[in-house]
Amino acid sequence: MCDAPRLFDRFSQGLGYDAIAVALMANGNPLGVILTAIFFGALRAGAGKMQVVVGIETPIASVIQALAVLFVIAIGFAERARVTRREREQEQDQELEQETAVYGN
Amino acid sequence: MEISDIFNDWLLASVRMAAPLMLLGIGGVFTERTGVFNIGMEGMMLVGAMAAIAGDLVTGSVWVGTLCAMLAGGLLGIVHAYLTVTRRANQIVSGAAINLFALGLTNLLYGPLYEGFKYRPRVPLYPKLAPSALQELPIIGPLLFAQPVIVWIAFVLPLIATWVLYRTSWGLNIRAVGDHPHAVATAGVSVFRLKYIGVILSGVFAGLGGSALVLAELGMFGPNLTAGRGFIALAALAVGSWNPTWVAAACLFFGAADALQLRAQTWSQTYGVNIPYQFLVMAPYLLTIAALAGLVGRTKAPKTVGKPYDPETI
Repeated sequence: MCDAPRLFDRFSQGLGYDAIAVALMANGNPLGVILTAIFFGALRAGAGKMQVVVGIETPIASVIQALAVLFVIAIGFAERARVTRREREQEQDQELEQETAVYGN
Repeated sequence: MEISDIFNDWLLASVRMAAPLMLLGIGGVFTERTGVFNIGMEGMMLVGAMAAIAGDLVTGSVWVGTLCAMLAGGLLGIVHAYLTVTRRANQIVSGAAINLFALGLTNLLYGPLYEGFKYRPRVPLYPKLAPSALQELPIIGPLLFAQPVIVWIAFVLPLIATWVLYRTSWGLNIRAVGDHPHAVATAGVSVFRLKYIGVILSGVFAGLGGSALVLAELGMFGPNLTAGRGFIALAALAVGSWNPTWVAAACLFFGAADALQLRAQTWSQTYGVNIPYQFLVMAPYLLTIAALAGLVGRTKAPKTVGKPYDPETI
């Protein structure tokens, strides 16, 4: 950790799990990872300040992160990819039909 | 302490520590048999444990606490089922998000839960039903009779679950969904409904496991109390090859290892054997890895586990 140049117990604080969420929200796009990582980092960094200034508990940050992930997967990138794939297949089928029609004549 | 006392103490603790794992294991079998991974069971167990304490604290009844735990776990199960079955989201990501959510939520509610108390009060625990004469019998006394009633439930439920899975037509449907959902759909049975039932059951059992964890002996809640038990139960699924009875046996094995590890920590202090306690804490997990590495070639996972079911593509 760059801000504490030593190794201590549980220094990673579940960063590995956060990274899964980051990768998901970026939808597999390496550049998107930069943006979502900044978003998650900001949530974490802001949580400590919020506790000091307004008195909101820090764990709210991980609740918000989790809800963000859950809503993103509920909207469903996978679903959308499936629909576009099916549309493409239908187009190919139509083209195939047209071709066979041509050769049939 | 005499050797026999130490042994009895260890047996008693093994059985008690295995009980929550076994309940989780049953839930895991149901969800993975219907083809859905649920790594969110860890979080569901954590939320269940907190709900159990909250319900017990408010009403003073351990059974209301148990019900709250099952309800809380079941609600998270519905979320996981909706995301993975209806929305066909990635099952691992959904589970990881649920774990993150559960950890944050319980840390957030931990303060309000004990607000107004100077120290954490112990809530009423599961009763021990056996007469005290039976409890004092050597070896089988602590092993069988000096256990809270939830431990008995945890030992009977895997047998019932095995019977349901292998001896009823509904159990056949559940097993078929994970292996070949399209065949089940062709037979005119709703795949979505069975998957929903499997995932929600895993949530309910995870919640019950959480209540078994806190209401058997401890009587209070702490941040991240489950400490990875949900993941140990997932390992037990593979070791027990997705059969509730064998999974329960694997859980008993892991529970015994954990109980031994805890006791070894005090022994190493008492007898001046300088093993750093961190190594002892690691031991059950190393055992898990070893068990998985030794058995992984021989176990057969449900065929479509991890893959979303799409009725339109075969």
